Amino acid sequence: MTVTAKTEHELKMNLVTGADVLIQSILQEGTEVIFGYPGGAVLPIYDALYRQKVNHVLTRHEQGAIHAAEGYARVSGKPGVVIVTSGPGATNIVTGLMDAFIDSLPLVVFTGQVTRAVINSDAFQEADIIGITASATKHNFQVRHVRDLSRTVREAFYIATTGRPGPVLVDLPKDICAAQLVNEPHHSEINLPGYRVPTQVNEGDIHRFAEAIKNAKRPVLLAGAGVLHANASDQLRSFAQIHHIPVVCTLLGLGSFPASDPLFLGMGGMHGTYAANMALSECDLLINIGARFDDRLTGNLAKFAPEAKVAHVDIDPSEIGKNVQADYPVVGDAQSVLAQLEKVMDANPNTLEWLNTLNGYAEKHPLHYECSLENQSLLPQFVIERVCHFAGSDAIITTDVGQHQMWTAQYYHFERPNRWVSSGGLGTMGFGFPAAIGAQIAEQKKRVVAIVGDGGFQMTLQELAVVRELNLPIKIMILNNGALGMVRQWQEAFYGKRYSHSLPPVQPDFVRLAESYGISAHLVEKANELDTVLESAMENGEPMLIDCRVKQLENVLPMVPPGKGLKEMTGV
Amino acid sequence: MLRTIVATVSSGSNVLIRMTALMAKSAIRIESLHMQRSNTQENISRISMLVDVENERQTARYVNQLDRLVDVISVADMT
Repeated sequence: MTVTAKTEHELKMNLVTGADVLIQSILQEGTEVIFGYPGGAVLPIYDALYRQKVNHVLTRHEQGAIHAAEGYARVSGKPGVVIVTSGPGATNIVTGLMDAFIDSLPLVVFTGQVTRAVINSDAFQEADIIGITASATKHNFQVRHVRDLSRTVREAFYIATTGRPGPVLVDLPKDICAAQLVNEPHHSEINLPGYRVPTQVNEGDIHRFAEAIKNAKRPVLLAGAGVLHANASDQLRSFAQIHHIPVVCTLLGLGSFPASDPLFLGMGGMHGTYAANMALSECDLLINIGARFDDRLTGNLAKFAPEAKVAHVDIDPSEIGKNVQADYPVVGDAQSVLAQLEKVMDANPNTLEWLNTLNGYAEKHPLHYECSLENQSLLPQFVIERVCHFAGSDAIITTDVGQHQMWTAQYYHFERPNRWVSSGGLGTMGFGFPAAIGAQIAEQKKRVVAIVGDGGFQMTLQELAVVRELNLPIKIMILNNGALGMVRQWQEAFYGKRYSHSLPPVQPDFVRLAESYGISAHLVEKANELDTVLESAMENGEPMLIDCRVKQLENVLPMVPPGKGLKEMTGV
Repeated sequence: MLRTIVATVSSGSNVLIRMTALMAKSAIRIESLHMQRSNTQENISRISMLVDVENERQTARYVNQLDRLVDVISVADMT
């Protein structure tokens, strides 16, 4: 694509800007919506958006835009697309990039940059976003020539969505987007010699893996988010059911296996169920499908699965052996591996005794909380159970990070894939509410509930304006304990109840705050008030905020204390 | 322990940032670093570096993570 010597008439007919080429290239990738926020360096891009029919969601902060894109990507499986300006616009999305990187969400993020002539002169709103995001992206590009624009966009989408998904950033100097060029068909071939996506699963690995499963006495499947990314929930369910193998989910793997299935033991890890953690501790074969052995799952690594041989399936070879040595490594996506494994499984392991043992654990030590209906005080676990009852298994649930997130993971029964949106690896407060916006835009007919804490909600609540503007029927459940609950819980347990800055003395009136945005809101203070409000909220097609004043000093239990093994759970 | 890591990469200004960012994350010290454009292949460079790592496991993890980088075409511990 070059500017050639043409008559003035021809130029008038055919000239477009780099920004037009950018938007065309983004749309060619099937993009349905862009989340963004304008600014000086992206003015040419926003001018092109003005000219072209593009669904753009104007969030009220760049962080809101990228978390919304993450929510969109998580439930749709499609890449979330973001446009922000240079400098502060770009640095404001770093948290979201890191969040998407660690949780393997496909994003393509376009940042404005100062013009090429003044790069590295500390120009107004200049930031070295390529350097800053080197550790927070799957890959990043800076476009230095207009001719590279459409190819770079193709490559960015390809990298973001293939293999292990992840965020890709494209930095766009303003003069590249403002440049005029002749609009002519372009053939931009992807040229990424160093980028390889594993496609063939090693047959020898599969046979060794199958032999190990057939001979196991106490196997357990550990299902991570890789199962969801590979759309392998059906294969996982039939594999577990055919071969009678119990299933533990990681935090982000919830929904990959139905919670109501008798083989489901619950979530494993720091706040996992007793049965799940005992299964991980006592198994003789740990079959990890698409999980990365995060420290919140494993607890003390030296005490993790001490008697087990470990099989590890991952699309990303660098995950295998990273934290836990694998006896049976298999590189591949969960769907292909499970399908090939099924073909060679000609016998079942005998797991009857093992399943009986685990069922005994589950019956003896279920999740529980002390519910006193006498004073009608509102317990957070009860709120989650009632939300689950009224919203149902088809609803999409998003959370922030902290106590409410763990209670949701414990007490919400996820039956289906891609209904659970939470910040797992990075643990980003302020994620849940904007993620719900992206999820609702991706799945317009589904019920979306954002379960947030009063702390995290205050980090991104400015996006209430977007909910009102687009009339998104999101239900915002604030589990309001007037505390940074998980911080307070750790201070209670490990810092002698010295509640240092975890009990904010001033809180907004969330009901009036929502109403000021034109969103209806309810205050719930007693357990017997909850059902009526929830029932009307779930039937109502309008956005709604529900401020639930839950018990302040409630703790998330059971718990594996930091540094301890999974068998050393407290509060069982 | 000293290890020699050799990589073939796409030439560009970003590849070194990403490689050294990984090293900085694990506080791996670079003893020497050499990068040269290929005489025979366009847009290809060879990087050779001598790094001080704690053990072979750390080396393996580092090499795997380097291999994951989009601009790294191949990489190996050539010690």
